[in-house]
Amino acid sequence: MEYLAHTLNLAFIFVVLTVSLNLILGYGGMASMAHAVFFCIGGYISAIVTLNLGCNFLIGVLMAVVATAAVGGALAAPFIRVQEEYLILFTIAFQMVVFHLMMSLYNITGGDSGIFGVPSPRLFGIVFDTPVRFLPLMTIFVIVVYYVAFKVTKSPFGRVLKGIREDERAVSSLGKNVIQFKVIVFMVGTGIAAGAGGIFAHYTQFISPAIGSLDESILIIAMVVLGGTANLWGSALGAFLLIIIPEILNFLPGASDLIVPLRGFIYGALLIIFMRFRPEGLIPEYFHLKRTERGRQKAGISSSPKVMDVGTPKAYQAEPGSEGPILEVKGLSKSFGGLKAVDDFFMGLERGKITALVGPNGCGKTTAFNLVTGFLKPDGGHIRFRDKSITNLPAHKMPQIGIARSWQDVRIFQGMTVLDNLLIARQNQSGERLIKLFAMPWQVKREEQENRKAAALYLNWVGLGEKGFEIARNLSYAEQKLLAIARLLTTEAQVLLLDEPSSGVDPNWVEQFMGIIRDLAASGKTICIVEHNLEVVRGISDTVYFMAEGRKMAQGSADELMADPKLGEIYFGV
Amino acid sequence: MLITVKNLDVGYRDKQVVFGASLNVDVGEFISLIGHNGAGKTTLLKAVCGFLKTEGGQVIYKGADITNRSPAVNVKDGLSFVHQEKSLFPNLSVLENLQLAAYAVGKAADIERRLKVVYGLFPILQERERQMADTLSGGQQKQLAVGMAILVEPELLLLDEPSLGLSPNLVKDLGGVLKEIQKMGTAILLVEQNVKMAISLAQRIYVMRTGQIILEDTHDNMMNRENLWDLF
Amino acid sequence: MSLFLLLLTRGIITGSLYALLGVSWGIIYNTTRTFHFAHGFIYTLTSYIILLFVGISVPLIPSLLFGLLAAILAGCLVEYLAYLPMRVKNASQLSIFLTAMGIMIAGQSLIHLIFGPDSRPLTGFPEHIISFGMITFTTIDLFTVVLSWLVIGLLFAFLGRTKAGMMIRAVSSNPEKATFIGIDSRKIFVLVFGIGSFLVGIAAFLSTLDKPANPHIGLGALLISFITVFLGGVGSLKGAVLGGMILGVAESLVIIVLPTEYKMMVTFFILFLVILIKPEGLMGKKNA
Repeated sequence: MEYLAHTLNLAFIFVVLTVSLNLILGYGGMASMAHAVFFCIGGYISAIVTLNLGCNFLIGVLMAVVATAAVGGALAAPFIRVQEEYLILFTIAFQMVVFHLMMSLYNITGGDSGIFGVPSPRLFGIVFDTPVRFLPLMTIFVIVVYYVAFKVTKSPFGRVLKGIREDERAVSSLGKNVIQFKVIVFMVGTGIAAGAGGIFAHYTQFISPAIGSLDESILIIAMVVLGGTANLWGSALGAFLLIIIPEILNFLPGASDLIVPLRGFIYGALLIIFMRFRPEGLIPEYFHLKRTERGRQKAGISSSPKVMDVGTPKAYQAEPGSEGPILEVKGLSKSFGGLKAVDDFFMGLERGKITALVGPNGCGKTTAFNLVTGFLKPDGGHIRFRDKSITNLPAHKMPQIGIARSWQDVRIFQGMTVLDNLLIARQNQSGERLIKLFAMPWQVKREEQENRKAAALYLNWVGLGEKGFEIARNLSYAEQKLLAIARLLTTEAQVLLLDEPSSGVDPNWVEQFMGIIRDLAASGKTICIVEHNLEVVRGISDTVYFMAEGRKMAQGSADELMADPKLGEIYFGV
Repeated sequence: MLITVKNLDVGYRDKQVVFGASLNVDVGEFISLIGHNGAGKTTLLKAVCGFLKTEGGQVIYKGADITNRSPAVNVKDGLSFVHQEKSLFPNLSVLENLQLAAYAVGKAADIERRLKVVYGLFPILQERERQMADTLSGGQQKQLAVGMAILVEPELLLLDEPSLGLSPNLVKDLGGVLKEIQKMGTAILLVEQNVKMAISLAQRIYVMRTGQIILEDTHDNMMNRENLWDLF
Repeated sequence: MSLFLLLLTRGIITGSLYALLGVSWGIIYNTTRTFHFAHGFIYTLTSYIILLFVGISVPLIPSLLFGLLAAILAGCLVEYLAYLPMRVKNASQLSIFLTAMGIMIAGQSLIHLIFGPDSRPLTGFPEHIISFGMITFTTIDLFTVVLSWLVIGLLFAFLGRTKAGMMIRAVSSNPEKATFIGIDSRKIFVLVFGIGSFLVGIAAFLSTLDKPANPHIGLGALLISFITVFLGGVGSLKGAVLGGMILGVAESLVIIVLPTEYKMMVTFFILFLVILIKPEGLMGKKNA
């Protein structure tokens, strides 16, 4: 009975470790090979705190969680800066450095002998010093962790994470600080792992660096992958399998000497088989999605939303006029190496008008576009929006103040529903802040409902009202382009900058598409497009800026500019 | 006709880029394909050579249907392509790059004579034979890329915006070299952003817009054309 | 001073072996961009095959040849049966890494099951001590340095002067273009796995002459292999050689300043910094 309880306790600890790593890896997209190290650090902190201060184990565990999360947060910054292909190696290096450090700092950690005599948990006078007694405590811990994990992932915060997994730049362009999200997820994951470490230390009354080795980190990763990344129930299955199967070996006769290599062989073979033949894990995410669809139906949200009539959203009303362009660019410049891509560039966007930026290859219009939208930092010059300087504003802050951009290659989130694609574009969501998510769930719920109404409105406007619950990747390319426009509208930004909006639009549809952009301007939006297709430019623009060699060469209507032979020479060569 | 493209449809995943494009090139002819950025010129060229799959239509070369045939086979058959980018082996020497190009057609024995031809057109490559390709200037790298493509003595040479990144003088030189190559009997299909250059070198010109070929006209007509803007 | 010279000599000897390990993994990574973590298993396998044959009284050189044969075969099989099908299906870096880890763990466990956990020395090589004034080393050390550099030299000659070598370099340099001009990448991939496994087999042989083998030696060798490559420069075999020498010497000299326990930590700390600051390594190029 004790043996069974012990196995269960062990399995539960690994379930927690797997879930917490899944948050980092499966939801945050960061392949961390160092998870066991945080587990171990947590154990040490709790052990040292309780041994030296004589306080209750809960304080020890709490301190472990907080301190490790802080360390995790500090480390997340370098983790995130490293390119993806090197991340695995980088985290292995980190893992080994800390592991060897723990082995070496004998005075603090006891070296490879570890620290004995970590006190068992004490609550309400009961001492939880046997596996059977500990089991209820462990179960509560697992439940709490699952609650936190589900809350984090099935929330607006989790929705942003999902977007980040697919396309970080697109998420940035919708007003979210990607780095902040990743750091927070990392802190939550490492914090939970540290909590597990603390609990484990008090359970076994012992802590040593052995539980923080590379082998352990790899074991946890294997559990995540086996159960399916971004699949929290799968994590439990993965953890159980990789703990229980080797334990069964204990019952084989004559196996006692060979337990370690036998377990190694089975565990290695399982890895090979799964990765080679079923890399999506035991329970694929797709299966999960289907169940969510049924869940939605139960909640009373029909699969094809009826057209919601909520009147004209405020964005449609023309802005109270003030003088001067809403967005102004003065003397903007940017160099790469020795090459001046943008050189003393001037431009002004008038409210409610469509301005086009054209020029031959290499004229700097794409660079100028990226400078104005915050994806590049200018070397010199100013950008003003509504008479306030926004010159060095980073890209993710733009939608928050009312400037949004689209992408030449669309960049919608293929794995999300159409509605979720729009919801992620709403600004200032409480549900994206973890503290508010846990402390004020009613506000989050209310905002979510309001956001859904707004999103449905814009979806109808572009004609995709029937497709709200469709998975984005099932849309045709033309529908995806419409979705991208709806997504822009959902940000409620006043100024829309479109990067080659007609790219990929088939010839039968170009007219309609131009009409949509004209309607956007008519409803009060200020629009700027970078375009190579001059038929589109002639068809919709109010003003055209002609760029060459990084500067504005001319400004005027399309007809005026195309009558100028000098511009013709620049555009077509001599 | 050396090569005839009939109603070609080309797309990436679910996005169609080329809609029913048709063109042809005769033996020894110089043809240019112009159009705005994103019109589908590069996509069309790549599909013709077999780098991209077509969704519909045909490519007939020397009487045979070569639609969707692999580029490696096409090279052996005299159809050579110069990419816009990444068309060299940067960590290998100029000579090795050229040797590898010859490898494609398995005619290593003939390489001395062919090298002479290439060096005749691009003397700087001979000077820098032993240098690593990535130490060459941008213009020289373009020359090497073209050199590699003609080493195999192609019957049809397709070039994708070779003047990109070159100074006006180099562009003029390149135009001259292309004319020389045509004199040696190679037909040329040139995609160019430098419209004037593309028109002045070619005997016939095709114009592409939004994935379709909207015009085919002669050298003389295009040279005398008042308004080029309407085509873009 | 004599301590310094002694440590320097040690460093050069280990550095030579590290350089060999580096190019053995480097040639595979540079050409195929696969994180071949099962490389460590090939290393252990070679040692044990050699020990097996020596154990049944086969002379040292034929045993070595059998070991190398086993290495080449195993390496090519891992590529052909495991990595290739996964690459075709566009598997993620992480998936391929985990498969490789699985092979490593399962393989070394299998060796443990068959041969037991005890260390096994490789005997049969004449071992004498040589002294040059203050410097001392053994014949095995000398043999290690000579053979390592000989093999590295042969590798560079092969790559630089043969047609197959040029094709390997072409695939490394621009894999797409190589395919377009008709080079069969699949065959080249299997070839470099074979070459890399051959090289790591030699490294295993040299190491086992010096220190007894156990089922877990592969991990250490593997870590050294890729630290060397990333330190010296991805995409550059010369960089791997440089990285190996620097690592070997640094590891040895660090003892002057820090106690021995910190040796491993320093190695990994160097890797940590390199990836953070210049991930393409000392001699590597960005986007190589």
